[in-house]
Amino acid sequence: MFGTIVKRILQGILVLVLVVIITFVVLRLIPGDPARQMASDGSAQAVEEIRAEMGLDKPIYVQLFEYIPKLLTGQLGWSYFQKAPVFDVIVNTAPFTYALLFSAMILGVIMGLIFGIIAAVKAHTWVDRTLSAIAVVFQSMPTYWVATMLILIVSVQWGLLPAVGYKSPKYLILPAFVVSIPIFTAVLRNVRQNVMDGLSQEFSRAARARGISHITILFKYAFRNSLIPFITQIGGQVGVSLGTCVLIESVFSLPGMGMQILNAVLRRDYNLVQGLILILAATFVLINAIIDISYSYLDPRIRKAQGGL
Amino acid sequence: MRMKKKLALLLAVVMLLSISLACAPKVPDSQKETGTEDSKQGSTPDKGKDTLVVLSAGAFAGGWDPTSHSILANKHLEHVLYTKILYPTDSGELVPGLCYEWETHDDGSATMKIREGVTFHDGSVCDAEDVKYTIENYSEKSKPSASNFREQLKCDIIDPYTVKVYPSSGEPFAEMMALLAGTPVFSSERTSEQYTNEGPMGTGPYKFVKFENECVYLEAYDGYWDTEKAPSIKYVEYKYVPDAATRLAALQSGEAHIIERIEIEHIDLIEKDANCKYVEVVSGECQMLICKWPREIMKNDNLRLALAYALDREGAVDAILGGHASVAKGFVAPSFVAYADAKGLPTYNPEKAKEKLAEAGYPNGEGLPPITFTTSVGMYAKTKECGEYFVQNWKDVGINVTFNPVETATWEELLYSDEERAGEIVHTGWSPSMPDAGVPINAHYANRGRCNFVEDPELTALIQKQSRVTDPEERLKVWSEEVYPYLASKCYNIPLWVSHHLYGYSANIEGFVLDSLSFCNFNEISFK
Amino acid sequence: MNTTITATQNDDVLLEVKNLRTYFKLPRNKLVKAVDDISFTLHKGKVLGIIGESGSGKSVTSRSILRIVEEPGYIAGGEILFKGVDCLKLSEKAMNALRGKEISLIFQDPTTSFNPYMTMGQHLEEAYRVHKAASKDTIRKRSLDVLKMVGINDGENVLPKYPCEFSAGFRQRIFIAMAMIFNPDLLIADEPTTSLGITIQAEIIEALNDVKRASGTSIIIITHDFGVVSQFSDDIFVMYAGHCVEFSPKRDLLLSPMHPYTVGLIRSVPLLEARKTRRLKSIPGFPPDMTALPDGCPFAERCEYAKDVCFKERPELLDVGNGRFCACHYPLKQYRTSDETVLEV
Ligand SMILES: Nc1ncnc2c1ncn2[C@@H]1O[C@H](COP(=O)(O)OP(=O)(O)OP(=O)(O)O)[C@@H](O)[C@H]1O
Ligand code: SF4
Ligand SMILES: [Mg+2]
Repeated sequence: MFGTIVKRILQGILVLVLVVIITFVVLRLIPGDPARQMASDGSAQAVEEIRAEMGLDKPIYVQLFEYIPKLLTGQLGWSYFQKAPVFDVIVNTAPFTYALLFSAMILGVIMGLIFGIIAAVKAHTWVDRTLSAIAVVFQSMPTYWVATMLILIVSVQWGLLPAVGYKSPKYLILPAFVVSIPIFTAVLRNVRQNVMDGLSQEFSRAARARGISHITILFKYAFRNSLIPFITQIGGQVGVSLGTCVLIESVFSLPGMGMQILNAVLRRDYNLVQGLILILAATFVLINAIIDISYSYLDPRIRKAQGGL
Repeated sequence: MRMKKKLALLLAVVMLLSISLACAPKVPDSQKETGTEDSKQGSTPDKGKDTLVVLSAGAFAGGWDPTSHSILANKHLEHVLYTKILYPTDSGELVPGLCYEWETHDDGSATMKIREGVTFHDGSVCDAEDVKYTIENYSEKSKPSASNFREQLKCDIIDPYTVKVYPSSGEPFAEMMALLAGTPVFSSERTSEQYTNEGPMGTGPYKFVKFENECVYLEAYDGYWDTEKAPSIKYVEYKYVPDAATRLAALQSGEAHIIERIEIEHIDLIEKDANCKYVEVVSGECQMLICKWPREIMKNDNLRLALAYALDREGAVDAILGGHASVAKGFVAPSFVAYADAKGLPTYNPEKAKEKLAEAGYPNGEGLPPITFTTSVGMYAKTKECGEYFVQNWKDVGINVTFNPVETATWEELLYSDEERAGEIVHTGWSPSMPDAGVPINAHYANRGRCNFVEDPELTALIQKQSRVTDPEERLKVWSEEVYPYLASKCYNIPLWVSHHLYGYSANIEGFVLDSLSFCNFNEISFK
Repeated sequence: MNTTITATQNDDVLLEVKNLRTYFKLPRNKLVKAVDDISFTLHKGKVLGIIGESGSGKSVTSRSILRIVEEPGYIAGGEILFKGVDCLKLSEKAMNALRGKEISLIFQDPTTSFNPYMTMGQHLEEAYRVHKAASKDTIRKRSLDVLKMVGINDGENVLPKYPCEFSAGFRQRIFIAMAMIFNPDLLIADEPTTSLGITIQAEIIEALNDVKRASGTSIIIITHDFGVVSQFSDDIFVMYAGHCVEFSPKRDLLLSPMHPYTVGLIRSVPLLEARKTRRLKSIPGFPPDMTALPDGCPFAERCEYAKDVCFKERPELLDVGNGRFCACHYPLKQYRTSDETVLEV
């Protein structure tokens, strides 16, 4: 058990190291120059000076060797554009992204669970077909478009919720709903399929033959057995949802990491992009590590195979 | 055992919920739900409201030192935070700013009288010391703010409210005063750390309160010197909203009063909405095609002219930009000091283009080496569609051009690059905040042109010549009879059109005026 | 259709199935008559073997008895008299009270019939608790008892473990034990050995035998393997395409099968002796398409004795005396199985 955790942590660190190096190199290889971004119509001399100030006049590997030790001591560097430590930018913006991510995950998962179970129980009836149709429709709508439509309807037409910026948690409702849609549809289909599979498994039938009630079979047998694929899927959804957050924050002008990262990429604010990607990747790695470790708690087969606990 | 499990589950759920609630970012009370929150002002007038909400299309850069950037969003902000030395008008004149009287001398220097009784937002007095500090720092070669200054300016203090400005080289140049128009006066005592930690500080009608969550909060400054134009709206929230559709939605829902850069497709929607209006202003931004001189093929005068004659600019403006641009008749925007139509500027003429192509040595395009045309996606309106249109224009006369639309940062690098990878032609727009023809023409064509890298001693000499002529009328003559016709005969860069600013605003505000440089005086706006 | 296999001593009858019909509705209006008009009787303490090829409707029959046929299947008609009460008329709640308490069902594949997330102890406890509230200790004691009944003496070690920790054969024994937790009157074993290896099969049959001896439960054992039914059933019921084709006391059926299908089945028994002397003969052809059964005898396509009438008229199940029933236009009166295939009784 302990071994597994250590292994997962090492794997996670390896992934993050790769992410750091790849981002570092790729950012500097793609065309575009942060110095030019700061002084767009500046003279070549002014641009050179800014570049030197940013340390970008050195070869990439030298920059990398200077960056890594700093990173190890927790220094994420300085944002060229924000003129502030990257760490501060992250501290200021991460809460919005995490709030958005978690509320969307919770919303999407809860909705997906409820409707997925209903669809499975009512499999092949009009209820199921309606739910599946809704899921397909939702899934095929581009998130950006959904966001725009919601703003038009809820904010502009009805005047119910604000569309831009952030002042109170109410500003999170629309974006969270938008981010939750892909989660909702994925969870719905996953839960529906797995619960249906679970219900048609021999052990569910055997339980029925022992006089166990439908509802017990539904949760204790069918759903319990779909938990692992379900949780695995949530792990995958974290990545997708982080991506959606990045996109959606800009639409709603939610001042989170997503909006920062888009700007930072546009501006070639290397350190900021680097820091934000590191944090986003770490979030993804961490959640997935937790999920992997949780398998062994959830599944006796894995637990026994690992011979612990 | 079972009990424990359920408890654990419950705990997990509670934890998740509380994490996400705890994550819900806290907002200080002072800022909560002020002004235009509780929206739908569309139907309820803003009477009694005290916050003007403006949505910026560009992001604000931190740091706030006016010399440290050339970023448009920050310049918009500086317009209301600072008083500029002089102000340009859209008819190409300069009017008083912090300097209320000035006199230019034959040696290229100028004496400026500075207003008395002007205070910075921290209460300190603004005098000649600050003006000297501003001018010398702002024009210092290594500073991004100096990008349009031909050279470093120097300043002597004559008395506490009089200064003498002169070019450091001693060589006079005519656009010096225009460069000062547009220079915001900042305090000689404010350090770079103060800018970073406390934000910008000037003598303008609004003072900076804070920058938070991509929004700049401003408050009216009681001590603004121009009492006639003292702000009527107490607070301004200047918010960065990258998405054009979202900006429009915020305007329509009443969450915002002014939105920058509406899209051409959105004009219809605004016209249908009784609560919204839009304003269209001919900007100071002249869009053009840069011909990269270092490419051997682009040194062929006739080829450049062939390229220019082949372009159907009217067609592109009508078909793609819906008429929301003015086809260029000269090399800068008409609102600039020393503007005149350029005589002999090629207009759409495919026959002539073919002729020139043959003269260039490539009849019907035979033997023409490959030409690449780069444009940005997302920087200016509909660049990609226009680019495709041009490529077709060129193809029609026998010039095959490879189209290369790229993302903005890549484009910007290619724009300023003389390397092979920059290709032959790059589309750009140019809008200095100092509206004197000398500024962009000098930057683009004198010595080594900034983007096209053209080296034409004759042209450089002409540009030098005009800048030595201090008398405005005589200077204009040099421009219209010598510089512009020469430029037109060479077409080192091919002018396309002058873009229009399209801003949306709420029907509930009045006094909203946008100038050609996209500056707007929030202090002159009031709620109906 | 009019002939039913009626019990001779009515008071002894535990289960009487009359004209049971279970159909499946398939898309495009197709109907599968998986069980079509079958009837049989089971006496207290007796063992009934149901035999037939795959797809003949054996499992559907057993599920129909417990009324756990799943969508899109439904019981289209008939009676299932358990201790004289028609199960088809009971409420779902009353039915639930029977399931696992008075009638238990053992499944074919012990690797899939346990919930992987529950320990054996939890399974047994749950099986008990659904029907009766009791203290943990009582349940534990009962669990250990039933485990002993199937030959598991170290029950304490078994209960806290998960299904994945046992071999298939061992799991099946635990499953049988779980089925016996309330000493049901009827135990239905649906191919309890099919998925297991030869040696394990014997163990399971042994366990069933033990259970029967210890509790006097009546058993319906479903199989497609004569080796299994021959060992301990009293009567044998042969199914083909949802129909009963022959019903007979075991000995008679094995020695002188009357239905050509039964003969085919017996000939295909993979007995060691049989293998030595002559080649195994499987029945030629395939079971019929259940969505489109012919009007005549369903076996006609594959029957070596088929005549014209067989293709036109469906033979009815007729009482041929000595407690034997057969559905064939030309029952084999003289057929005797060879010595090799006669199984020890
Ligand atoms: N869920 C279902 N949907 C549709 N048809 C079904 C379903 N279950 C059973 N059937 C039909 O009922 C017929 C009998 O199935 P059943 O499972 O009873 O066969 P069996 O005799 O138990 O076979 P095996 O030896 O393979 O277990 C099948 O041929 C099939 O056509
Ligand atoms: S009825 Fe005819 S076809 Fe059917 S089993 Fe008897 S002999 Fe064969
Ligand atoms: Mg079966």
